[in-house]
Amino acid sequence: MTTDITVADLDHTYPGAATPTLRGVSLEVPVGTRTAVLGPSGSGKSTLLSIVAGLSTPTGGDVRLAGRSVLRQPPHRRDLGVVFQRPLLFPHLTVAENIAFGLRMRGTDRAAIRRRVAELLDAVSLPGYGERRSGELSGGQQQRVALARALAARPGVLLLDEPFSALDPQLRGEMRALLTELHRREGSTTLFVTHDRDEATDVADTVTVLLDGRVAQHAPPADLFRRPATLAVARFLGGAGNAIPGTASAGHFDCPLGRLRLDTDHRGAGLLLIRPAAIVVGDRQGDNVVPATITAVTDRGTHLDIQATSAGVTLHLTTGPATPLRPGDDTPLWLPPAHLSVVTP
Amino acid sequence: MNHRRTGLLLILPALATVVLLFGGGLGYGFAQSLGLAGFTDTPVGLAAYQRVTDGPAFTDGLLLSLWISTVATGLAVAIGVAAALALRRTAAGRRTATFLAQLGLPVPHLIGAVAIGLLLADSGLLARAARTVGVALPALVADPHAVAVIAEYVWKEAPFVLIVVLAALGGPVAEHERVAATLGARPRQVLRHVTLPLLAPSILAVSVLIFAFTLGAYEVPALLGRAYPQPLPVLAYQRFTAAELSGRAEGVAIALLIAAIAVAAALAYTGASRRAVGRVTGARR
Repeated sequence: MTTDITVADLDHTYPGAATPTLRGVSLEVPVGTRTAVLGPSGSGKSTLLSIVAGLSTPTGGDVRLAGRSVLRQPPHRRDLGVVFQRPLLFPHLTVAENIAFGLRMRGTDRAAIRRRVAELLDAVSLPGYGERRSGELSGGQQQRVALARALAARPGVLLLDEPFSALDPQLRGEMRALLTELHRREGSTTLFVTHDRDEATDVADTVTVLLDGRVAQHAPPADLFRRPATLAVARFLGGAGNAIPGTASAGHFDCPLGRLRLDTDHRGAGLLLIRPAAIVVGDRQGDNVVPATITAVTDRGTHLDIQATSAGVTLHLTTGPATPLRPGDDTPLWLPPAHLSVVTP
Repeated sequence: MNHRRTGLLLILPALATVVLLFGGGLGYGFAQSLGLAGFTDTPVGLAAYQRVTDGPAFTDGLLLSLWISTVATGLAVAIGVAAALALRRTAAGRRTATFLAQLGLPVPHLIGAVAIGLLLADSGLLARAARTVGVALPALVADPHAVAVIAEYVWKEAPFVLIVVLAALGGPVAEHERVAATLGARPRQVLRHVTLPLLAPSILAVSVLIFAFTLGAYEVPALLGRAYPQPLPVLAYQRFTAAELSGRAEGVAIALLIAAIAVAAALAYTGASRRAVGRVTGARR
């Protein structure tokens, strides 16, 4: 049975700490969905996960699984699967016994355990590895076994704490694909903690950005990049390269570049944000096209980093590596309204 | 090849010391027990061994020795492990554990035996306290079950077990326990299926140390034991210091038999620990 997760107004301060680790964190993960909690190290995301898992007790707030508060329940009663940063396979058990652990503790009968273990070994592409010991597996294989072990008892909730950050980049990509595939098969409601924004946007259907112990934004991955809620979110996601001061009104933003058309709820003084990759170079007529002069071009191999000025404003943009632009060229730039957002300075 | 030779040269001083001090004494003792050396009237051969193993004194002593060592080891391990599991959670608990260990470990067994004697003897503190409230205690010192001897060993060795197990618990054991809990294991299941298996190598190692030590130790049963039966180390010492010339060979023979039992225990341990360590570290058996 898969379960929805509700985190309500969670506060946590570690004993002896001067500042709280979590402040009023609220979060909703609907049944069968995947939410990533994305934040830099020290943002409190691992603490949040360990509270949901029952490994820490918060100083305030509530955690509900399937609508019922579980704060008073120890981890073994919460119907969870948890995958940690390190695989932590039981060294005294074989791979198959590791995967079977949760089922054995529940007293599931042997034949059913054998079937489930075989099914999961297939699912994580390790058929025939059942009799091995964890020491004989590579790091990636161990983490796949840890994933299978967490899912074996079909928990309502799957929690993952930076599960792939100890693996090398190529392997990480494969693991993300595997996790998505497993989620499709198993359907456990998934809460995933990471500091890697690609990992968050790849795996999750909703991303919660946690900064300094507070929820800074909760949105689908694409919105996060297009419409960061605050300057801090934009900075954390690497999208504060262009921040142009001006004044927002309904459907417009007035700044030195002129009157730009956009859709924003912001009113009054604000910063206009646009990601360097969202700016379109080339001849165009219509709204949000500004004349600009190229001031610097740096060839990065995969793309060009370009600096341009327009009405005294410096704009950073990136283009394909073969774009024929040189310093001194005059070119119109299009700032697509869908990629413009306004935040409080 | 070169490496091997360098390694051999490097361990040579240590090896020479061990062979000379340990092997030398043991070899000479062995020769004495066979009537081949020393001031003795024992004929050459196994006569000394036959004489000491003949009769009930040896068998009774052997059984008593095994009883004392087995029970003392079992109790010390059970108490030490339980205390370590109870005390590890908090910093205060760990400090308590360290304090307890520091209190007991440096006290020599001889002093411990005297203290236990003063406490448990028929005229001891405990018996007198019990009598004032009208309870008559059974004999605890020089009793058939060697209660005082075992009590002294447990008092001395349980803190040792505690220290060893606390050190083992400092490893990744706690993390594995957390994983087990998130997988639905109840606290009792965690203990049985995760904690104890992970501690098994340390527990086995400390058990064999205590077993071998208590099997060969003389002073505690000499002070707190009965006149008959006597455990093997006491028997060995008495024969060795006896007036007759043949006593020397017999004393050494008993001592060597104790060593043989200890070696057998150590070998059994090596086999068991290789299996346990293999299970825990994941090395192939």
